[in-house]
Amino acid sequence: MGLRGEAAVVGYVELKPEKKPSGPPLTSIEQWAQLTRLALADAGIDKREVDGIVTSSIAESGMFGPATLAEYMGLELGFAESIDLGGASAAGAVWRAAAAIELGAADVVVCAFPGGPLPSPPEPKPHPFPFGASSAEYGSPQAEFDIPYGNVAQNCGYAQIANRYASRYGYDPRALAKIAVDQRTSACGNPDALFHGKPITIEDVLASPMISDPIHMLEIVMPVAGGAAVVLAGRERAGRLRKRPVWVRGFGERLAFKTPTYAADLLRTPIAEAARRAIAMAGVRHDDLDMVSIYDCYTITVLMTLEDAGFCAKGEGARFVLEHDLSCRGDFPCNTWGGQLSFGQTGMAGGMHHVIDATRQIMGRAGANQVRACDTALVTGNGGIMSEQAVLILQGA
Amino acid sequence: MKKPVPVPTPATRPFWNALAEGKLRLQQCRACSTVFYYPRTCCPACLSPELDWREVAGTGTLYTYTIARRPTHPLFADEVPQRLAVVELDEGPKLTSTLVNLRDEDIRIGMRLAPVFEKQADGRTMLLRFQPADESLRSDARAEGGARQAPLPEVSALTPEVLAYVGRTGEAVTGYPVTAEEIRRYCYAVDDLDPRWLDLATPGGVSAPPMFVSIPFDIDRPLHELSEDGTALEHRGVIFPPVTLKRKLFGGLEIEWFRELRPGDVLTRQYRVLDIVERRGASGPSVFVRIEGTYCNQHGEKVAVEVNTIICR
Repeated sequence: MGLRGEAAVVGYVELKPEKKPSGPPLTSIEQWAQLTRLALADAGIDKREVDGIVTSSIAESGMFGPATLAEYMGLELGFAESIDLGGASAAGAVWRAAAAIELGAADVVVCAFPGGPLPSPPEPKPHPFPFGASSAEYGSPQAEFDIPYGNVAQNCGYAQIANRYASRYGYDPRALAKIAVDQRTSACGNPDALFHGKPITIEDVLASPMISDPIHMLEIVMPVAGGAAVVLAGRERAGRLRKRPVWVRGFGERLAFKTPTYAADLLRTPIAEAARRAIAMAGVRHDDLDMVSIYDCYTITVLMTLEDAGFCAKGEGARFVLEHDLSCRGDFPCNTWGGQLSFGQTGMAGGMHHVIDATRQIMGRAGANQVRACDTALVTGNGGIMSEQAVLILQGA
Repeated sequence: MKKPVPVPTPATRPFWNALAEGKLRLQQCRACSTVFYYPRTCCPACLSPELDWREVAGTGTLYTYTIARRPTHPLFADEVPQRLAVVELDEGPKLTSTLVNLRDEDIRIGMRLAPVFEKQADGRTMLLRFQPADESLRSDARAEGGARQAPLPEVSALTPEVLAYVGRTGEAVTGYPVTAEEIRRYCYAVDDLDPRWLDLATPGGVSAPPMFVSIPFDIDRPLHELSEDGTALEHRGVIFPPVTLKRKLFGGLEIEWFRELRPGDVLTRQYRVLDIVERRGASGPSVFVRIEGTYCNQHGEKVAVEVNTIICR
């Protein structure tokens, strides 16, 4: 059961994040085509070889998104998947693509996640998601039982999880802050990162405004415009490429709720089971991992992922963070391109940067931030409010 | 946009009807006895559709919480700091709510809570909030006893009076007719010498440059009638909430253009308050007011829509 490890990430594109977009706005369809062109060029694969795509929802095509993309880009597909897992979509897309390749449904699959602003129509329309990730549609449980109390957006849910964690295991704000600090150290080696050249200290994080107790501003990602994509190919095709293929060896995925209020146990995140499955499928041990790329919308997400993915015991996350250097130069390289906390969060593309972080390291293309002898990596995706999570094990050989 | 209130579905209506009477009713599965929240058409434990309604006391414990220092959404700015809670009822289910009638420093995960049935501003909707079960922890008890003075809550500049301005429109005001001469004077003043605005031989005649729309509303005044800063005291049609902060700053203008404006056109402008949002910074609160101005021509056709952002602080 599980993946045989015969599909690989063979190319990627990562647009430079921008707080204020410099180019003209493009539709999601146009952005998809642009990302596909750039990712295929990176892989060295001709567009005519693409026979699979995985996409998040397409703003201009609420229905029939994949077929519209195929038509727009002139593709003929054997595998087309639309994925709706929030920040876990990218990791979810990559294992779905790998599974499709191993099943023979496709040989070359593009997974693209546009993250740029859309052009405004001449007649302004109401925002499609007035309460962000909480659905205000009639009949939605969030509209009826959560939004009216102001339980809206992401900050409050993550803060509630952090406070619950604190009441059970204690809470060292300095350890949480250090996660953001170590990732900023890595961002200072990545000229593309939004906060390149702006190192911070634990004191800076703790002095930043309290947004939702106990979460400070510098522990929260900043939304930016961007976009990211990867190309996957099967063993035979990947073997004929010049770059080192990055094999998808294991995956796990878990989701059971949307709003944290209704989680059976807020302190055991879905990543626990997802990571257990991914690691077992790949047949690796934690010691084999040369780096990790952990979805970091908030510092608390990273801390709880470290525990639940098995890098330390439950409740030991703060000590683990304080005892290790999480930067790309450290003994536990984590989010070596700076993480979303320092790179910027490119909307739905955010999760793909973690896949690319690990891919770049295994391919040996991380430049100043290259981790020595990087062959095996663990990548996590996290959607909603630690409510939908996925794990990948990627390997160079 | 108004503050969202729950809209019951056929399946959830019994819950909201009971709440409106100050009663909390939960569903219990006849097959597996699970008590659950929120209401559903089937049991989340076994999917059985055989369900009973059961009235409960509404007491429980605080499972977790956060205090949002920034509004979770602009519509909740009046509730900041928001004490957003997850409450575990004694029967087991957890629910989303907020904490009321207590001081922030008395909030403890695990504390006992009692329900507060709170009628909303629409006069119909009832929401379920929670206060400490221990009466000595309630802030109204403390205020009466006078034992400890509760700290003054941070006062929000978004008073109900200010918030009532959201969605309000000003009087529609008609400007003076557009002339080719006025367009020419404007273009010379801003050094925009595009022949589309200036060359009378342009097929279809000249039109006005996009930023011209507000010009027909500027009324010339003799010098002694101008205000201290040199602007005309012209406020017809202007609508602005009574924010009590001292200073006003220009926070940007977006303008969208729908059709050409030509000599002979007569514009009518109407302002509408789009939204009012408070942000708190180290130097105190700021209030962002966004006002939309819609410009229509004499045929009632939309010519341009502008959105002004004014920052009060």
